[in-house]
Amino acid sequence: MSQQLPPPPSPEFEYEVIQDPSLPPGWVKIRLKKTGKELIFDEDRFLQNPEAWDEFVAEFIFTMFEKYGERMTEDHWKVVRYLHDYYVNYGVCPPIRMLVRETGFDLKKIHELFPNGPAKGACKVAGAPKPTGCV
Amino acid sequence: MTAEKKIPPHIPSLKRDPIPESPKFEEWLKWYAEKFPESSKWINARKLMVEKFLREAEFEPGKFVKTRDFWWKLSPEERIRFFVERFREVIRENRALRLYLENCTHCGYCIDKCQMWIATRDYHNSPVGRVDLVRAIFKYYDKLTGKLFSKLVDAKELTEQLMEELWIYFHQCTECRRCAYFCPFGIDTAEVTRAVRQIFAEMGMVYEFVGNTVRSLMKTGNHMFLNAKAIKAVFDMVQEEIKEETGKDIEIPLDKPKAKILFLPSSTDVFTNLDTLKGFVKTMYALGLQDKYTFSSEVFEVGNFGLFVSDYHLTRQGKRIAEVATRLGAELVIFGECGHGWRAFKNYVIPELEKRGIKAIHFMQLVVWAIKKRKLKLRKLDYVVTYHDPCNLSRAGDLIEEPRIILRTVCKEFREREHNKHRTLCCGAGTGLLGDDVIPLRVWAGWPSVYDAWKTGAQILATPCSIDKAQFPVVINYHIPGQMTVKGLADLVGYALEL
Amino acid sequence: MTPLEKFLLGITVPSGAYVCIVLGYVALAYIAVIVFVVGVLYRVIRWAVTPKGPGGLYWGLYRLTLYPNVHSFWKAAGWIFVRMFTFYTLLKENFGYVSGGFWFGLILFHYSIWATLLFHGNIIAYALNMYFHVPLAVKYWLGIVAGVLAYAGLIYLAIRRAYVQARTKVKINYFDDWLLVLQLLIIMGFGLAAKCTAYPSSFTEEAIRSYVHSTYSSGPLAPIKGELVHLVKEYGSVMFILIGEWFKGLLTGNINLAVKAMYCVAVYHPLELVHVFFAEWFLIYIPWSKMIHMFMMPFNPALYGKFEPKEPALQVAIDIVEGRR
Repeated sequence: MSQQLPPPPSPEFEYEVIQDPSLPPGWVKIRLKKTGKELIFDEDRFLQNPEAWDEFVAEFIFTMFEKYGERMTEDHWKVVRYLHDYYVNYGVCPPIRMLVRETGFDLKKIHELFPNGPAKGACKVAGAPKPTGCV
Repeated sequence: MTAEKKIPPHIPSLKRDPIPESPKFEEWLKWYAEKFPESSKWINARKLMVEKFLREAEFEPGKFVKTRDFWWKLSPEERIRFFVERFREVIRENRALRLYLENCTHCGYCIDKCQMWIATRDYHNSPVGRVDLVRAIFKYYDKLTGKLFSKLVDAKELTEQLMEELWIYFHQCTECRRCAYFCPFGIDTAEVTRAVRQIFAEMGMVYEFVGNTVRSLMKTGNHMFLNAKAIKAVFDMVQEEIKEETGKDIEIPLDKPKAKILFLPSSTDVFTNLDTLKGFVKTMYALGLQDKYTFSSEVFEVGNFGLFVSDYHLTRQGKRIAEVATRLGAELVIFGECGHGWRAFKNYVIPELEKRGIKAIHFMQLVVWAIKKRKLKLRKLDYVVTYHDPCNLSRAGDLIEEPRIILRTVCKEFREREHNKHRTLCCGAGTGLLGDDVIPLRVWAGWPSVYDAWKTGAQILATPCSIDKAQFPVVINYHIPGQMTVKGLADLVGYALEL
Repeated sequence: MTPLEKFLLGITVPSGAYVCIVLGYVALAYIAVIVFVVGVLYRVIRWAVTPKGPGGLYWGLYRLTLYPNVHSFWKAAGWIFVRMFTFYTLLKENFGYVSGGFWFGLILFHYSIWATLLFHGNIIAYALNMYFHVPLAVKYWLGIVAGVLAYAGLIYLAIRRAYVQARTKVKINYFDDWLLVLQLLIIMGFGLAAKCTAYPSSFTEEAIRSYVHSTYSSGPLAPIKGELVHLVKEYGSVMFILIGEWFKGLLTGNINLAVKAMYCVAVYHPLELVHVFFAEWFLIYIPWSKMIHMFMMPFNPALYGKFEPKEPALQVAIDIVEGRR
């Protein structure tokens, strides 16, 4: 378990770490320099304050934790927007089959877009929390 | 090639060891060389002692959490004091625990029966080694000889380091109870595990993945933070899929009032195991129960992670099921597919329901009856299938023959595994050991079982357990990608059913 | 009162030996039996009265179970008995390995122990004048064979203990485990040695006569040599009779008889003396150690748990499917 976040891949994504002793071990709190937003990540780097999510945050999570240093393409956005809307609507992530049905991408394509997979990659970028239960 | 691979002599080995049979054996050796014996470093089961858990997992204040602060705010001395105090209470009020702590003769027979030991070859990860950690404390705090001759009888005072070991090893027990079956006395390590975990949980220390799941269970009545709206959305999609496949428009009932049957699926059935849900829906339709049953958004869950945390959470969820069934006026509760949930259901919820005059059965029992009475039109699927007995169905749930009857009926060929029925091997992720942080442990703890199934040459590994369905694909993907698929029993029934 | 008893009561015992025997073989014997009975009862009652768990449930469950299809008390009891008397779970295969040796060792050890204890029971029967007559050769050889088998089983199990520890590269055996093994080695070893040396080489008239004349021609029993020959012909050995008289003394409260019988044992069969002494300590040790395991199984909730039958619930389902409800 790496305690440190990787350094920002480009100046646009610079951030500063905020020390907060009330957080559980392994969690980090940062402030994005560009937008001034404060983000809390858990050990798996899932966003713990989803209300702070916006498109720049999605870019940030993607480039930091998903494909380091790369930018999101239109395909990525299609998936992430769908997931985020679904999350806001229903409070959970959709089943993978529904994601495939709605976006038209097959599972292989989704894995290409998000190497960590739909639940632990795409949903993370979309600001949804870690899945619980038997998954 | 695989035959030449052998466990080196400095590592304890089995006669026909499953570990070297894995194509990833080299990696295991590397691991063992690097990280052992301090498994605490490489399997750092993380501690979720998040405020959220304490706040959201307790509905009646003061009933469950005994210390109001979080563990990292308790000083180590306070934690030790709390643990010892609670432990002393617990051994006075729990017969099974007392019996198991007092009666081991250290024959060592259980050691190589534990899939966690097979995966790690770590003594403390074997049933006797694990319980010996507690036994040492027990002797120190409860026995005269323990205090006087602690070195001679292996009695230990609880220290911070021992506490850490307790935390790690008791969260690596999957409560599969295989050791209880093999042990000549029937010593049930899972009872000790559950006691220790409960004491930790009362301090607010719960394994993160399980803690979050229990939060959800307490809040929403299911494991995945699903509300009625989310369930309905998935139902609509599944309904559409069924229509595309069969041409029949089968409505999936949710929260239908005055239904005679309450159907409890696993919450993952609307997330990853949609086929299982389809199997349920089709079967109920084929049996002509379409208007008589309903799912409930209030208890859209058969699983009960409370089993892994505390009796408080277990009974709370159990009572909720009973209450919903009573309110609905149901006469029968049908249990979907879940392993650990069936243990909690069979051994807590059913007796509770009986008190209210409601009966409950497992979906498989219903299907077996329907097969015997030829109520279902089933074709033979062209699959070679093997069956993994979920630990809690075979050793704690009275369900061994039913799945075999179903598989023999719906599949071309059914092959029995070597370690089956009572001797079934755990999937390696029982007790919610499903977090990403324990993947190395999971893939090796699950390997013995997968290897057993793989050896039969079957293409499908059938199992009526949601944890298995989440765990096995990970294991298979790591060791033998693409060589086997995991299906639920209801999935197969659904495929075979002709409407 | 038999002539033998009369004679034994007439023996003079040096006062030092008298005190020692009273302490070691009368007082200690009573204490051992009392501690054993009270201790075992205490442990067993303590298990029985400990509640199931919080809320009267096993951590939230109504029962612990290990077997399917257990719906009645007798079926649950059946599993317990099968486990207790066959150790069959040791014969279950695990990754190509069946612990056949372990199982055989256990069977050998436990069953031989029970057999030898049965023979000991005949001594008590003698003390109660209910001696069960067995042909002497049979009695002699069966006893020795059972003793040797039990000893072999014990040695095998002790070696296995060390072997398991070496194979799994951990320390699972502590001082108390080895202490038990050591005690059993001493008790059984001396008992067996005493048995082997206290009998004539065969049970023909001459063998018995020459054995008795060579062994008991001096010391306290010398005056009744001729009588002893008859007794040996009937009971097999003088040691057996002496221990029987000791039991009789203890059972009837005739301490004088017990002491004098034991004095004769000390003179002629000192090995037996060691055997009895350690056995007394072992009785005291049983309730407070792992030896309590022999009383455990009927109290194990995982073994006596039973399910409610599924048929009534299934009947409700059938009624609903067939439209009767």
